[in-house]
Amino acid sequence: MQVICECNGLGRVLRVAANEIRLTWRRKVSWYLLVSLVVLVAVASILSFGRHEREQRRQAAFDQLVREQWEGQPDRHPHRVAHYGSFAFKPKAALSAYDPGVDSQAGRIRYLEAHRQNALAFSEASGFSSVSVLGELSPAYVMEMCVPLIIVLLGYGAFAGEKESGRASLIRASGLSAKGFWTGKFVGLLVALLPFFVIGGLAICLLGGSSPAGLAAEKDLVLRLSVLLGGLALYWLLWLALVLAVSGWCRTAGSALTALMGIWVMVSIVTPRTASGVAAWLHPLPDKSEFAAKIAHQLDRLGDSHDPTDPVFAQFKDEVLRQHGVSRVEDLPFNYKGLVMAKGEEQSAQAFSTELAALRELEHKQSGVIDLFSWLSPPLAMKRLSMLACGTAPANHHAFEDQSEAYRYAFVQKLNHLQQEHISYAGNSEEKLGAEHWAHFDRFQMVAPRMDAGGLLRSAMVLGVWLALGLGAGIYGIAFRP
Amino acid sequence: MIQLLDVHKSYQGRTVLDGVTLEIPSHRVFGLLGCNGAGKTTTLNLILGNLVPDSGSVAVHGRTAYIPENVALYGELSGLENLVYFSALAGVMEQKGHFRRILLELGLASEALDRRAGTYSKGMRQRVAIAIALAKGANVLLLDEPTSGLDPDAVVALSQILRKVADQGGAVLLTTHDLWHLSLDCDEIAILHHGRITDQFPSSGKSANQLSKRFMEGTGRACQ
Amino acid sequence: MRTLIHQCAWEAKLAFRRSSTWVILGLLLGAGIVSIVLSGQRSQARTEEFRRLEGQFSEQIAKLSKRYANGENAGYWGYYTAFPVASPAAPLAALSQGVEANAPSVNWVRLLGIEPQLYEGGIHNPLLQTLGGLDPGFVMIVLAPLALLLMGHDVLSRDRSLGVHPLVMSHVRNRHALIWIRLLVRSALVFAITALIHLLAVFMLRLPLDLACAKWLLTAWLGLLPWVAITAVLAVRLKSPQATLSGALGMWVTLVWILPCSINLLVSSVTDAPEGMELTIRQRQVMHDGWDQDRKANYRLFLERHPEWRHLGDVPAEFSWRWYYAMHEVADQAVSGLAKSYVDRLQSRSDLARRLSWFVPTCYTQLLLANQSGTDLDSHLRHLAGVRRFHEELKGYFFPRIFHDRQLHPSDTDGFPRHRATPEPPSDLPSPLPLLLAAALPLVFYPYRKFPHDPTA
Repeated sequence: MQVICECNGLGRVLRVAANEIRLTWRRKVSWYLLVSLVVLVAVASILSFGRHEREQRRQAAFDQLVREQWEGQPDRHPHRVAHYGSFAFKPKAALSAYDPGVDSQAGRIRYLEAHRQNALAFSEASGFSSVSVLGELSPAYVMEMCVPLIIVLLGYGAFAGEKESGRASLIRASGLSAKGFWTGKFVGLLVALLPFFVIGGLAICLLGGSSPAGLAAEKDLVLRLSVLLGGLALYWLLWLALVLAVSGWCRTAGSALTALMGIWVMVSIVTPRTASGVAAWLHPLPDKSEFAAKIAHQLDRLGDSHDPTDPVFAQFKDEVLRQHGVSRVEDLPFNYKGLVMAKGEEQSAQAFSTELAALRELEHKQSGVIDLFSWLSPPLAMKRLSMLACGTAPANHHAFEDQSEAYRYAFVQKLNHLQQEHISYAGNSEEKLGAEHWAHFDRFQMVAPRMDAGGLLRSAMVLGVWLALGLGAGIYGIAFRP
Repeated sequence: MIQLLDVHKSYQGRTVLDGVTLEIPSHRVFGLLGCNGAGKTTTLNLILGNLVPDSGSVAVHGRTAYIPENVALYGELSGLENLVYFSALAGVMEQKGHFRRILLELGLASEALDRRAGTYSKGMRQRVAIAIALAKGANVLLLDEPTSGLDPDAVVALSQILRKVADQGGAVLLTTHDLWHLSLDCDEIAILHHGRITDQFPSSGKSANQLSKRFMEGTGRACQ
Repeated sequence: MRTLIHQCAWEAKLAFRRSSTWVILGLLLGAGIVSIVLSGQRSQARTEEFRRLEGQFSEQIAKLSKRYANGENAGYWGYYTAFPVASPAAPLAALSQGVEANAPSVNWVRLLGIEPQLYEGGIHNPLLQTLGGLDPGFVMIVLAPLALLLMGHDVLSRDRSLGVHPLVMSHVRNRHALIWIRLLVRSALVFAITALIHLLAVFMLRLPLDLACAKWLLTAWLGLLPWVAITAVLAVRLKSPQATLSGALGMWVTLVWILPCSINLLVSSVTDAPEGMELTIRQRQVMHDGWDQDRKANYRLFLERHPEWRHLGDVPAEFSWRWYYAMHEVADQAVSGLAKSYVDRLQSRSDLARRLSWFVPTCYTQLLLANQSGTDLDSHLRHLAGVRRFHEELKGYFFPRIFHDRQLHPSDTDGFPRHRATPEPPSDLPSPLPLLLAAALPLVFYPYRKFPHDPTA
């Protein structure tokens, strides 16, 4: 009796794996897909990087211009300087060439002036030049959408093809256990797909390493890269397990392919957009008219510093007079009008803060809805992980908003203080502050927030659960669905 | 009915048919015997018109129909539905009862007619293929290895069907290397070896052993 | 003819026996319904916003009337009153979101310089905007072609994988006819689902059932035609189901994603960016310089452009409302060249994108649908023009009163100019020619004579 194979269980598994590798790379389709991916990744990376550089430069130029205009101001009344205002620019994260995240939609430039917040913000999207249907051609998109498609195209027939051709029963008869068979295929496909994964990983490292850090030397760049690569590895493994699971369940290769295509379309394209629509439906943000009305209400309550007949400020005046033991504002040791402006700024900042906090709360609830939907869509979870790792998540934008607001409040109050100290009450309408003061104001420097560990963990959990389900379904499917 | 005159055909550098002359008249069941790779399938394709000979001529009088070695049908349709569908492809529209009759005459069980063709045995599928051929009025049937994989009673049924077709004025050409049933089925046998007809004789009365000896002589004792 | 119908009926039957047909059509319909529901929500929110505008304006007027119950200089009224300018949504706007995601359709306009007021965006969650929205237009442009490809790519290749191909080829009278009948029957199913989605949209979103509505669906169908041609070529030229599907997906990814993004990148790198920010900076600079300058000198600049006010003489040296608003006007005029250039740049970008999308049917279809839904760039530019026109109206009302130092009383607020939205005539529909060309182009590659991969069994 001829002995077919003397190898033990592990040996047989490895044979299945080796066979799978050989089969995959014998097919012409695999080579076409590899070339396509290389081209796609290269084009996306180069274009994305180029745009990243261009915008960095333009932003730096504007930053410089604004600073020159600020320092170049002639002698002016400080309150007018407060209305002249300044701009805050959000620097680009090092990895935003890989995943621009919300950057193109969220404003990266904010106009800062007294008594107003969130008034004017410029983003690329307001350029209206987009004819894109599915989103930006970013490397992140390629990794999250195209690589899974490649995994589907190369792996859909792994089990279904064997079943269809009848080879499955032969393999079963050889004594190989279902688990062993599945492991062999998994390992084999994983190794066969390695060139694709390596290309992706390389592109990311190149992008991360070569981008001149916009946020001065992001010290945790290596950490961010590791998180990103780890997340992607998890994500691609998940897709591999999913493809094998569906292949194990279906009886024919054709039905496996259709099922996987359906799944891909639903989770990659339909679910994220549905999530966005549902989030807006469940927790609608106020429109700008409503928001402005709410601010107006708040301000009414808190008093209007520009209105000399305002009752709240009348009371304030009495308090201040009493504090300093004088009977007329002219006798105060400082410019009362400056103090009124400072108080008014405090009030309006408070009004805005309250309303913005409410707005932020709603946005947070919307994010919660998106988080829920990400359980149904691994690409959505991966997107969040990717944005968090690259520093282009909504949280980063909120940090920019908060820091720029703090900066605004600081410089406006500094100006109000200068008005108190250097402008006399009597000459408030005509006196000006010397131009030498303007250079003493600091520029806006943003401090990049750390990665949100909670968000990362939540995304990783979704990916992990899907991976486990895929692994389980795969093995179960092989064992029980011949 | 079918005439091949000094047909030469080669592709990919290999000469497949090297001067084949064959004539298959009507009312005949003709068997083409040969090893694998002798050129049997190429001959069928030339007759069907899928290939064009490099030299020589192929003439066919009558409507041809081809029954491949592995008949696959649309598994999601029933046998009867497959017949109706393929007839529609050929432009034949009839009452369903007509098609039903054809299938029953070919020996398909009545209850099997409405069962999904995915559940059919090879013999049943073959019968549906023949029905499709007959329904479109084909009188030249070309069968490629028809008996491979058939169970014994199906083989007998097949030879009866083929005989009936020939008796009604058609011509049947079947390629095979199944010597056992050749003498039952065929009126005349030709041996194709390395692209040439090396022997041609009527099969009446020859037993399987005699055929086997003849085959060995005709192919030089070996199939490569 | 009868045999043709007979065969079509059988092809449909064959298609419906396959579970994949039900899954594909079902998912397409499901996505369509979800898109309709979400679009309905969006358009309802917008309608609500419009409805509230009047109340918000009245509230504001009431507050000011209380403050200035005994009358006040018109300058104060002009400074504090904000007027809503709203462009109502086009009837079919719900079907395709277009630029509405980023372009507000409501602007609150004050008498001050118009330029800084024009570029205020709406309140959006950037995360939701990044994820994108699902509207019926998206379903027609992205999902319906995919459904068409998935249904039609295996008209031949499935037969090959099943093994039934030799039998089919030997019996069919006309091979090409078979492919086209199969493809067209399956395409008709996808077209039917899209029609059903459109009907549901009309019913659920209460859209007007008129010629424009029908044209929208016809445009969507026109956009699907190139995909039918592409599917035909792929189905015939490629052999196995894996090859046809890979080819189909490759075409889809290329036409729906890669090429549109390439157009985007090309447009932004070739043309100049419309710099809303540059406008704001310039206007700010001019205005604040105006504060610094000698008031009389500044007013003289104003008089150069508006000689009709010469008869009032010069402004006083100290603050006056006349001088204040004149200064705003001067600042606006200083940047009017830039403002025009902003609009021009927007327009030229849009034009370039439109011309480039002659080569990419997906983009062109999107442009057509946005145009018919009234949500394309032209609609937004019309809105901005409307805002500017209303600002002129405001100046026309307030300037005489301010310049003559009149007092306004609460009773005068009834006479304040109000924006009346004029129904816009629909802009010219771009020609459908590119789509017809795109439908014809793939057919160049169709093998008319030789049938590839002839069965040699």
